[in-house]
Amino acid sequence: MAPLEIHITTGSQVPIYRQVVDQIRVAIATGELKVGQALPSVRAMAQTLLVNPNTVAKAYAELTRDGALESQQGRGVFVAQKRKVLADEERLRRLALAADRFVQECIGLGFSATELRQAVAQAVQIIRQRKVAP
Amino acid sequence: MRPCLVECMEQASGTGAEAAIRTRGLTRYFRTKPAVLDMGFRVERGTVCSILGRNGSGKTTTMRLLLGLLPPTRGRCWLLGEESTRLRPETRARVGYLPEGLPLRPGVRVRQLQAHQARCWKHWNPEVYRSIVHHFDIDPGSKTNQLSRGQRAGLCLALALAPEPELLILDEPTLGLDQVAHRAVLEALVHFAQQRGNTVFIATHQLHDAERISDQLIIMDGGTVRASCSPETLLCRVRAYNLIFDTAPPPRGPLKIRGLLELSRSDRSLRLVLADPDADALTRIRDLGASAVRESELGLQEAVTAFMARTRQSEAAPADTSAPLWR
Repeated sequence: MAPLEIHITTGSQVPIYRQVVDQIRVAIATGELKVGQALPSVRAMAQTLLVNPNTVAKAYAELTRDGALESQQGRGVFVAQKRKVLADEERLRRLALAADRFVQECIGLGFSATELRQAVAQAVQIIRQRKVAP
Repeated sequence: MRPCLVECMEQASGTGAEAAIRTRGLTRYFRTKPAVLDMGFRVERGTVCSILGRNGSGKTTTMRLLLGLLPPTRGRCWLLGEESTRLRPETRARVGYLPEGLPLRPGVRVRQLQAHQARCWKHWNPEVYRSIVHHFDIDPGSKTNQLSRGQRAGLCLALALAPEPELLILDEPTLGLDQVAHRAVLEALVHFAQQRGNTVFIATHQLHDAERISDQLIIMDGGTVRASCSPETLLCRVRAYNLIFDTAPPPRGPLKIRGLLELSRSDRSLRLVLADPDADALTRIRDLGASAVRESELGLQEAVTAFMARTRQSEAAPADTSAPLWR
């Protein structure tokens, strides 16, 4: 099984714990991380990424709260069985937020609505190709 | 008063635990010039705190005050619960210090230095020393003045960590190091921070490092604390507003907006950087009569620099006296 690869970019507008959360979410969505698979310990992850261990712990805690991961006492943290943890309204709210951020950025760069739609379709295509068969 | 961003860090005081570092009204003058002025902050145990600031902003003086190497003119500070001016040797032994410039006596062999240091400390972990010295590829037979800069940093770090301190105070440990040595220092710091309850207090100009390893950032300027918060808070609470003026030129003169850190203008635009803008600040921005206002997020580099931007901020400073500190 390929090791989980997370890349940290410093100097970006995205806080490091958020980068960790987002990349683990994508890895779960694409199947790179499978249900039941163990994640590296907080210590190991902090040492590999060269970041503050509390940052990793915070990222794991958020993912656990959202139901993406589950923590088993004394055994570590694992990818959780898929279940709906967030209410529909919350999911929609987050979608709107993400869309808003994306659209603002693109409009600022001078792209049209059609170009935006094409870019989204393409990005979805790329993620789908990354998806490994379950 | 200039704007200041101070986040209430999770106060362990409620649980009875003493902070690793605490200062109150800490002030130190050199002749008539205040090097540190009325500093109040705390660093909780088990966290990494980076202290940022331009050269001469008071970082080194703060560290020397904390270690009791310099008496304060007024105010007080505590290390591991004990007042810095009266640290007992037992408490001092729980604090590791890596001073600026990595001072090592020249002409001494690494082996001798290690043996001497090991005798000085009541507690000495040879395993910790060996692993760091090995990590930096240091030959115990070489003399201190034959070591590369990176190896000097490694040796200093090994000597500071071998007594297994609970609190590590470092003054620009990565200054002038190559990438490999730099990474090795960070690895050693992250490893140290992993041990339960260990605290790191580090002065640095390397914002990328600070962002990676810190729970808390303290931004100093002119001897005072301008911000004390987590990197995430700084990223989400410092915001830039770009105002475009199509019809009339932007307003002249100073702007009276609470939290204004930085102001730059051109013929047709204004750019404001604000710490923690409130509703009133946003109304004032809207009332400036711009044809378009765009809010944007900043990277850590820009956000930190805004707090140190004394020259650019001076234009906005005179009118900013209304801003009450929200400590």
